[in-house]
Amino acid sequence: MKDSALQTAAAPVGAQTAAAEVCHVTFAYERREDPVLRDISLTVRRGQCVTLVGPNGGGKTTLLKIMLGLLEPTVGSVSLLGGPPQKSRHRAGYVPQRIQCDALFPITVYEVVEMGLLNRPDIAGRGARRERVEQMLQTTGIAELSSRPFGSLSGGQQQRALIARALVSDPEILFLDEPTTAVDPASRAALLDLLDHTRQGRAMVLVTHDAETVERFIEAVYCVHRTIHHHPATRMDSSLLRHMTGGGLAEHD
Amino acid sequence: MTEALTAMAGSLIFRNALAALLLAGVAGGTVGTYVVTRRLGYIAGGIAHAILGGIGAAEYLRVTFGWTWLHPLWGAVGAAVLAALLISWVSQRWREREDTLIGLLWSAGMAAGILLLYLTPGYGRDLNAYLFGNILMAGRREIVMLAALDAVIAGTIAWYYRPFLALCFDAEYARLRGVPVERYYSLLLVLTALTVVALTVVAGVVLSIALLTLPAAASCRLARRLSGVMALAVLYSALCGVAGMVISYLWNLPSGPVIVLMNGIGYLVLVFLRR
Repeated sequence: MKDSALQTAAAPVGAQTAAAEVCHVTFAYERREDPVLRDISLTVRRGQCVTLVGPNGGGKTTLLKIMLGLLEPTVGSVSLLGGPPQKSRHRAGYVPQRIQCDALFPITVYEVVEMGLLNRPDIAGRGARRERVEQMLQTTGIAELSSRPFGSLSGGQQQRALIARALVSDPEILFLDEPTTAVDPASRAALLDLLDHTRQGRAMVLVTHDAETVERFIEAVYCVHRTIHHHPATRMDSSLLRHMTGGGLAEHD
Repeated sequence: MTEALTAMAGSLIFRNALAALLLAGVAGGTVGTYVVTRRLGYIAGGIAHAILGGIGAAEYLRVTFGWTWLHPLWGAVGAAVLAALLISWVSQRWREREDTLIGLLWSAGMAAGILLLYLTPGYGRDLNAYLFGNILMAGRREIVMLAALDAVIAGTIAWYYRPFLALCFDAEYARLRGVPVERYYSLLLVLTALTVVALTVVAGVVLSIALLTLPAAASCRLARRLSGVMALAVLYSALCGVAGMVISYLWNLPSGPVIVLMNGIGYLVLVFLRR
């Protein structure tokens, strides 16, 4: 772990201009096991949207967590916003695939969103926090749900609350792990509109299985399946995505 | 019945027991909310049973070496905090070994306690009082200790309310926001350990888990916020505790088990009503 921390501290060339940079990362959950990811290199420029697609179990979420410093690479280095992820990840926003939360967990939507302001000493006052949270609840269209228990919301509403939590600290880069999972088609379109509207030129790393989502944010598409390949797609439809995310897709060479 | 209740209210033993009960309920209601929402019940069970080892050791040292200042509850505090830190350390390094360690503390702690109490010269105290509690034995010393424990617990929770909330709701996100999750988890287990000690005064080692979990579990069905659950759980503890004490006095029953049953019945009623 110490080795990788040292490697991480030595920011790769180009880290000053890149929002995130992954250099030759290999990762295995246990040292004796086969790596989940092998020799991954990826650069996310400031303002760029990178979409990660690939089959289930291909390592997309793992790669996202490595970029955020939640998992340590076995080999290789990661830079986030010009520094080690552990030091700079509080400047990033993260929307997880889902929260394993008890439906009875006593927390309101307001409190979930306010959680995004943890460790923000510049917004320490109660009034400033409230103003920020309420503004974000308005932006994401869930102001009327503010005092509702989080566990009582629908999948789409919960996803909006998690996006609000990720955006409330005004992050420089946003990581989204399958944000449209468990969301009905009508809510999905609204959610994509919201993401588009709130992006405001910030870098974004998006993991998705959804063709409509890829099509909406199609700037740089990478296929992750143990290794990573840049896909030159400029248009996306469900048959192409099916080919990229399953449909007999072989592990990359 | 009125005469009996008047006599009960006038009794110093009852007043001490009531004070101990209310103070233990403050710790149980607040920390119990974290135990329920973070699902730490099994860990709390392991800590509770390890406590008997500390009680046994304190009793043995007190009698054998004449350390009259060493109250058994201090032994309980030592064993509980040690068990909490050990579980926290192991679970953060070898998560797959956590269950084994809890099982070990659960059984070995109890075995050591029973053995040490057996070996204590002239030992004449009833083991059942430790296992199932006897709140009528609570005196001024126990009340002062419980008040001190409450002050530590309430102060810590008030100071670290937001990080604890984030830890219980979404630990991964808390880590992402720069919260030192491992440190807060250890602190939470230490608070749980201190609370279990407070509750053993009321219901003993075996029944204390019920008082730690039932008030919070019942209140989770009524409140929307963690702080609301805590306040309701303290109130619930007090109501069930007083009802249990009155019933045990009127029918001459052991108070600890009756209080636990009142908590259980209240929980089942709420589950039925709030389905």
